[in-house]
Amino acid sequence: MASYAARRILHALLVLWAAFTATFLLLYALPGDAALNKAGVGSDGSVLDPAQLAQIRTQLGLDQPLPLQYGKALLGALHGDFGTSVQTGNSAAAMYVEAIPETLKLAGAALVLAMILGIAWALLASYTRVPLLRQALVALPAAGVSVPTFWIGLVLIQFVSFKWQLLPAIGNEGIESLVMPAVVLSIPSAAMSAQILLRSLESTLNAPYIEAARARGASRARVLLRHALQNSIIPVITALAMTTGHLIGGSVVMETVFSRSGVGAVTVRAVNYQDTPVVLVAVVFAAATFVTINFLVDILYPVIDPRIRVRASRRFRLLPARTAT
Amino acid sequence: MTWTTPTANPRRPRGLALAAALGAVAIGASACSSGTSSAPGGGGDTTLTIGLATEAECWDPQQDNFGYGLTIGRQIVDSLTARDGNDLTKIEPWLATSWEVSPDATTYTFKLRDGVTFSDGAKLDASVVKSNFETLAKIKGANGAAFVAGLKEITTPDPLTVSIRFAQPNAAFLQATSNFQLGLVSPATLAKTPEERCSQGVIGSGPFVVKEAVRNQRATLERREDYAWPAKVYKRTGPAGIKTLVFRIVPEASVRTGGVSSQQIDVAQTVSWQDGAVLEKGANTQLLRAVNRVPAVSLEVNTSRPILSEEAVRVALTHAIDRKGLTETAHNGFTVPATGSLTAASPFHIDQSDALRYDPALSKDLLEKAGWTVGGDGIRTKNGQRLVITASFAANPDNQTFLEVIQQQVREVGIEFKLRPLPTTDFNKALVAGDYDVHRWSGALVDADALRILFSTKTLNKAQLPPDNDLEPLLQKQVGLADPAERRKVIDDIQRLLVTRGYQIPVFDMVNLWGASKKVTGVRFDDSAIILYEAQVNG
Amino acid sequence: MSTATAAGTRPADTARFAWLWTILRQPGLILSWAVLVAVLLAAAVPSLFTDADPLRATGPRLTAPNAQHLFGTDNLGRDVFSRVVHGTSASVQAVAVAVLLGLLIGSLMGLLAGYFGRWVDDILMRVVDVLLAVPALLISLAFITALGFGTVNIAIAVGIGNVAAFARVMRAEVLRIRGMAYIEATTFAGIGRLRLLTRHVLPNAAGPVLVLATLELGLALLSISALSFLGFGAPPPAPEWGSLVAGGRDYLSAAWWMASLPGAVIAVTVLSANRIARSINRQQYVSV
Repeated sequence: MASYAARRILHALLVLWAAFTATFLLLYALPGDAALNKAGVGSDGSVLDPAQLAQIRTQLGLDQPLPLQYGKALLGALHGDFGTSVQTGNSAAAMYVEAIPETLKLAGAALVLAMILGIAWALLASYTRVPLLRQALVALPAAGVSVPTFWIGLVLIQFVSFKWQLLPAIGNEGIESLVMPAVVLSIPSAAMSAQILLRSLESTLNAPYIEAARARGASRARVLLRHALQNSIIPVITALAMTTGHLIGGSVVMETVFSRSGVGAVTVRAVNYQDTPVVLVAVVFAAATFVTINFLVDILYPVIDPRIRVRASRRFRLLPARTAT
Repeated sequence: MTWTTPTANPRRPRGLALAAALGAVAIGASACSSGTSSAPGGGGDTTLTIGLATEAECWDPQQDNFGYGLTIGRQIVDSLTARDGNDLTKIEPWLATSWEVSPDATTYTFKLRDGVTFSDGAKLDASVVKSNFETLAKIKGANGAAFVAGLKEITTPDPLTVSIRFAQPNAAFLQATSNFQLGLVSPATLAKTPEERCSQGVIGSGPFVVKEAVRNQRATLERREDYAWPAKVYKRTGPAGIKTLVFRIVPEASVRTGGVSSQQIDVAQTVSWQDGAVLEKGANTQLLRAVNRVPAVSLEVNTSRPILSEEAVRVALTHAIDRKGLTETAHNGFTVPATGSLTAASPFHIDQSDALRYDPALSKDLLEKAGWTVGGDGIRTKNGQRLVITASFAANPDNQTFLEVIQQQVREVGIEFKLRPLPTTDFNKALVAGDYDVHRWSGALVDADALRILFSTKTLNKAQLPPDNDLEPLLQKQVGLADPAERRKVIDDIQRLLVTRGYQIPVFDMVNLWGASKKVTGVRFDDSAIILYEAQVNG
Repeated sequence: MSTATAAGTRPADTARFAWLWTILRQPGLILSWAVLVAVLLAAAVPSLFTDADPLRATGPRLTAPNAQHLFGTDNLGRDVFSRVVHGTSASVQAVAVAVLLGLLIGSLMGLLAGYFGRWVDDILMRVVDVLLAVPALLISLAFITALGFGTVNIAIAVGIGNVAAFARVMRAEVLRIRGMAYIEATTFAGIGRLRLLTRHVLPNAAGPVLVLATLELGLALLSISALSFLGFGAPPPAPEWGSLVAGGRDYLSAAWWMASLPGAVIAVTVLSANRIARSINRQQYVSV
């Protein structure tokens, strides 16, 4: 077990390093010019001459050869220093880290909601016997992953906040401001986990031991909750773990729609201003989150389901969980 | 501008029913600012929540490119002078009580007001003004640096007198001292690097002080109870009318409008043209217009391009644009069709509506005479070359919309107008490289010197003119004339040349729309900067 | 829509009408195909659906949907339905670029990894791990930072975000097929590697990859819309669907149809693509 964990940690670090390197190469080979962006043309005619531009480039370290820039960046990143933001001149990492708690709240709430909604929905659909209703319940999650979330969010604001004035449309304060964005953000993940659980339940319910339980006179509800769910939940947890990264991605959209602060808002601005250090932090952070959560889930599998042998877990994953943003 | 006084008791929001049902704990200071309103007449603990469209890149009004100075920055810094809201040519005292301008417009001497303090307790004196301008002149790319370009020397004969000398004449400087870009900051701020000022904000002597600021989220400003030096242009004296200002970043336009209608915010920046009409008619909302006094939003013409080097084509393009139709279609009638090189609200504006009239027949005639004949698809050609003009612009829906209207309009006379939306960086690059046929631009200076900065071959050279053009001598001449009447004449000539020769194709005068709750009174605008010193919330 | 439980008894009398039965049993699937065909037709020949000019005012500004303007008109008086129809080809192209890019790069990676195994597999799968570790939207945003704005750049960015999914499926299929007895037999029979690849491995792996591609069609459309919404797609005169929704959102209170109806078109298209993916999948017995 210990050596397994060690190997997983090593692998996680390798992934992080590769994510950093790939993003660095991508961003620093870009055609855009951070120096020009920072101070190219003032609206009042303060055009920088080439000498001044060159000076800013030097200041930003853009005139050094790529390997040197990379070496410095990697060394800095190991110390948590990703350089300074082109927009503000502040530490890019600090700017990003500062925004993490708000996004964590949003993504965390959405994750919990997705789990609850997804499981409840699948159970409800499995439990329902009225064919038409059941079909509707089975079909709806597919619709849930088909509608652009920003659109749902904007429409929801119009009604819930402006028309009925139930919840605030903007800001981060209080739990009430978290409700709408978390619900909307959870929709694709909830729909996805409902679909996976439904499929998983379907096959489990046909298993012989379920038949046996039924034969012993267990009620449908009991069979579903006690026997089937327990044995069907693993793929859902796997999928939700894979989807955490997508919640961070989705927060980019939700934070724009609901005027929230957080890493999503920071990322969008960074892309707009070609603020490469901040974009780099965003990618590395997302990768770190993903790697950590999947490591934990891998470690947790045997706890949830003793039938799973540790070595098999990597092969166990289904297709990567893909949700829309 | 006049504001209607509120009439009906505004509908109270039903509150956060759901939140209460959920047993939510912290309701926060935000969602419903109207809850803290007090009696009319200000004082009290009033809070005003303002929804801003974007977070400013840099929290320093001297450096920032628009965002910060127009909104938060203007509330926290004072300037040496102020502009009169009615007679724009008149400059009124603020932190300076009086001033003298040398006849050659190179030296400006200001007498400072006594007893002014910054919010950190530092005292305003001549040396602070001196180091403000000297520091600003050295900040590369700072928005305000252009105003003090060519600074030669600043002397302080006594603690309340400061004398600013320029190497060349700078007739626009007095107007400039009323701008937020030359708003004064405390010595503690001056000791910081430009980057630190950007990220930490600045300390000013204004009626409000920043208490808390969270990037991309909000800034909370508290009024200074000891504020006693407002400009003469205000009726109010003493501390500001509202105790707390909360600026929130609300990126979605529809959410800002809805926020005002549902009373979640009191004032909203940049309301969409369509929502403008909704807010204007709303029972508890009002529409505020900030009329820009800078050069009109124009197509700047690259005269070095083969097609556009023909004056006939440029003038034909000018007359092919139906400006009235454009403002109605693209801006729901809220902007003003351009009637000159400078906006009608500019103190230097002359009426050139005849030179800018919509006259497609004339356009066709001009093009015909210049040898451009209509081809098979309705687009004119000459010597096998199609009459294609490409407009470059910073990609955003608003620019896109009005340029699409021009695209439709000029097609009628046989001009193919292509759109080239560019991200900000690429747009800047294209401008520096002169890589455009025409591009969308508007200036930022209220003084007519903006025209020199835009068109002189020594500065932006928007029309990409050769050094020996007919405009250049006039542009250089006006900046050296301290006598307003004489200078005015030259500026009139400049505007005529720009329009009649088609160097600049003015399209419309920009008007910024702000939405507000009807309870809010006393909001002022200086050009497009919002001033909340006199604002009040009436219960 | 059918589910596994709907596997009722089929009338055994005539095999001739089996296809009819299939259709009647799955009206949703037929509808989905109809939607997809309509979308492709609109992309190829927009004039089939509308003769209104998408770029010029054809009615008063902001008219609600009516018989003449099915989706109403926009802020410039242009027919929204016509704009959706004419925007189809841009959207379809963007989606095609995104999916094909992911498909080609991803499949190639999966193929090489699965076929050669060992260190090739190790290296390529680490690359896939990295691509999986970063949310697709962030990968796209990083690419947009590098490439600049615009619909084509968005499409490329979304395509890169898809690579990992294709690589994994392709690799799994190749491994599965390689393990099959008859392939081992052909290897012994001395058939060339390339021939083995093209004759046996590729045709067998095509099915699951196709399912994924269909599924990715919908996801790519959603991702492209989201990036357009964030303002990274510079709208050309005949904008793709995402920018129509994005552009109409400022008018939500004054003209709901401007954003809502193009949004509904996106939703219906994605739904159809997903439905079809599931139906193919059911025949392929692959878990997607």
